[in-house]
Amino acid sequence: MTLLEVKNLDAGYGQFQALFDVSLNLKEGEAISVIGANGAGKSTLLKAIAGTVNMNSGDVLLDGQSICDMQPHERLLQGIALVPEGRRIFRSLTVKENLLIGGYSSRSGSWNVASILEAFPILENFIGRDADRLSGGEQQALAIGRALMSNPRVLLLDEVSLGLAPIVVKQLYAALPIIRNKGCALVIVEQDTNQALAASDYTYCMLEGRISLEGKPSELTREQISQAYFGLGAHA
Amino acid sequence: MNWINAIVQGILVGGLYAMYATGLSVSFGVMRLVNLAHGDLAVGSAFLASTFCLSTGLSPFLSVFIILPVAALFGVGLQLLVFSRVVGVEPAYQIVATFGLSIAIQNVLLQRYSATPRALSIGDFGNRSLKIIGDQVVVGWFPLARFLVAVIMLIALSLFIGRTRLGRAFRATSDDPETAQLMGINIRIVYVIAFAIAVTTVALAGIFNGMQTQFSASDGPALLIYAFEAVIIGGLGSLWGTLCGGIILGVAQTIGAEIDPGWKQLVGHLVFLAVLLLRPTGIFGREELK
Amino acid sequence: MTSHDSLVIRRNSRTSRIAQAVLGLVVFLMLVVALGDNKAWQGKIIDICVLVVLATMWNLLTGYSGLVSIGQQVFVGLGAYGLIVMANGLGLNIYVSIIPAAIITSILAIPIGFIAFRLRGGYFAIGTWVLAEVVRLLIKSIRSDVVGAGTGTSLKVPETLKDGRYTTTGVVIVVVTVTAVVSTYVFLRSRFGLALQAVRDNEGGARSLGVDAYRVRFIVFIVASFFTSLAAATYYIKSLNVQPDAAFSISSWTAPIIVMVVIGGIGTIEGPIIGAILYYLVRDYVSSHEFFSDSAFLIVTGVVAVLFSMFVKGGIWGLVTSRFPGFTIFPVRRQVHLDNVNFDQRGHGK
Repeated sequence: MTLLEVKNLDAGYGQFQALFDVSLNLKEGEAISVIGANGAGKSTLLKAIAGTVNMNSGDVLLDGQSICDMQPHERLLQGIALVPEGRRIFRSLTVKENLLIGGYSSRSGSWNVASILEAFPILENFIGRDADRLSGGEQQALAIGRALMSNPRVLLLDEVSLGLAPIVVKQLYAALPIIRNKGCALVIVEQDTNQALAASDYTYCMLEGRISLEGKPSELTREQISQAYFGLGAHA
Repeated sequence: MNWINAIVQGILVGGLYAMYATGLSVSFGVMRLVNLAHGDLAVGSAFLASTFCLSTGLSPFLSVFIILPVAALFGVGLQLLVFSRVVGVEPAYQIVATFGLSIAIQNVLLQRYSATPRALSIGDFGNRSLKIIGDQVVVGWFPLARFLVAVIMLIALSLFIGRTRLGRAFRATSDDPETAQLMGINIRIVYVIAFAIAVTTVALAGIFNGMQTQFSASDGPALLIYAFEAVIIGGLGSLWGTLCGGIILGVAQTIGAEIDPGWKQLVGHLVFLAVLLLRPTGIFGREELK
Repeated sequence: MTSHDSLVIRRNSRTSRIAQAVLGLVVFLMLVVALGDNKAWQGKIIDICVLVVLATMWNLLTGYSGLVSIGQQVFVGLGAYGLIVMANGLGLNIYVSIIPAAIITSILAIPIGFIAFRLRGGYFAIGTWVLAEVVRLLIKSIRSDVVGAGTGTSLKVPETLKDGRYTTTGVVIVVVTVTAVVSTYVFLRSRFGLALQAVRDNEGGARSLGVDAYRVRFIVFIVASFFTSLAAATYYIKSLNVQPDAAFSISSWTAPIIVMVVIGGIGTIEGPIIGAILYYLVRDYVSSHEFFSDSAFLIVTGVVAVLFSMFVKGGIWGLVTSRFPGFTIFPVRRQVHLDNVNFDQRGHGK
């Protein structure tokens, strides 16, 4: 029941290659995490899956079908939604309008404004306000909600904890099981490993554009993860 | 010196300036495109309307319904074929391309229509007027109608951008084109529609201008400057700000003309410079000048 | 580990030195013509040199600083009127006058720049145009016999200087041109020039390294105004007749210059020179043989500018350098040369 598969992906920006031979696997209903230090290539990986970064070689498959020739808006209709790094909410739109624009191009499903407000009650109070008045955590909730409006099958979360207080991060992560229960698989990218490992069934660690370690969080030791994360003891 | 009348006339012409400015504002807001040929498109539309009216004998008001769709199509073509190839990091190419276009259009008009000015004839309607305050303040029916058209146009555009799904897509694209694409918005289509709107509104302005004033092939640059000044005075990112900017510019010019006929444009420029120096984001500006 | 091969950082290559020698020869030939007595050719040399300076300065603003100005004509006009004021008004020698004319223009460029710099990108472009218009209108409204208001005025040339006017002007403009181009070259090679290009390429990055982007660009603006007005003043020693609408005309000055630089190649020193010479020769040929009317020629010019900005962004010089990579006449970039080292595909030397 493999839902999303990345096979030997090489990708980058112009002459700069950021990903080298990256492969991963996401099953229906699963949550996987991709961890690594700054610059390891995690965001690039998500963008390559979403279609906003060019692939040089390799493939990305959804339900066994290659999507590497599809534009971002086509991949959205196939069910891949990205919550971008830095939230990137639309500042001149209200909270409600941000959600509505998330549904600009959507599949059918159970996510709509009402159900999103249920999953993220914090947004209820700000529904009519300009989105740029929100705090970091509120904006992040909005960014996730906005991505859900397209009723995706795969939700790509790019560093949702970045710049947020631990208690806010906890609240955000508390919504993830709700999202999974409604039938959406997750790819969680984080620099901060704790929440990501706790929330995922399988993890990949990246270092300098390559996968340095993978496995079930429960089966990996702290030391293994540290080494793979920082590249200590690794060979050039 | 009749100040009140000057102010009233200035307000009415400000509506026209706002019409010119709208297209510039929309295309800059959505796609960061400053089209230096903007004024020339207005003049070109007026000439086309003139040719149409002369060959069919119909009123210029009717020509609007033919010329505007033509203008929209031209805008689509321009965006798809030319402007989409000059967007990007370096603004120089965009500016040079639109500048080259401006020169080309002006001289095509010059070749085809010669340097003789002409006007669109609306018959007697252009002469009728309304007395507001005795003989001191007299308002022509046509300038009033023109002002109303400007306001209606702005209301329509404002509703479109603020209340419709596509309008929301415009605003999202204006904020963040990359993330807008992630929402499934096809920004190439957004750009095409935005530019088509820009050309259509400026065509409308050009035709209405030609109904009361003479126009000639080289008028484009002056109109571009009026549009630009109205946008800056009113403030970026705000359609109603653009109306106010147009009105302020119009009033500044008519007051300048009251003092000395040769000072009309200069006073307008000076007010523009003052706003630029003292309040660069414009009077109602929301965005920074990026 | 790899052995220590010699690592050399060079700017000039042999080909660039040869090209520089050729250019030196061209300058020499121009001086020879200027010192001759063929008035038609002297006139051509003067025209071409003025355009080369103007194009080089516009390119300095646009290609190297990222400031696209369509208001450069303001400095042409100010240079012209500066000449009139100094020579006619204050009685200075006509040739000496060009220096104070340029200095005054540079001083006036400070408030002009200050206002224009409130804007960016396309709006900066229109803003410079508006400022040019304001200056034009202000000068037209000055009620002084020296300036001549709307009808303009002419440079008064004393009897003694009448004979050799074209010759002396020709020599002066060649000197001005060489000074302008060499200054640009030296400037861009300097630390300041490096800062400038850093700002153009990545302003945020440059700022974070401590570069004052505003100041750097402002200085370039003033320098460009100086040489533009210097060349313009020299031009009017030849043309004599100064009228506000012509001296501040965008279609006579700025439009051709923009097209020249675009055709030649924005962002290179060689580009504007090539573009100016090419444009002038073509225009001269076309107008003397009456192939096109003026407006038809301008249509072609406009279309060419559009096409080049769409498809040939590097201009003619860009095409040359892509065919012969590394070839420059004015090497500004430093190149790393490793002697005796071969590089494999991944960039590892062996």
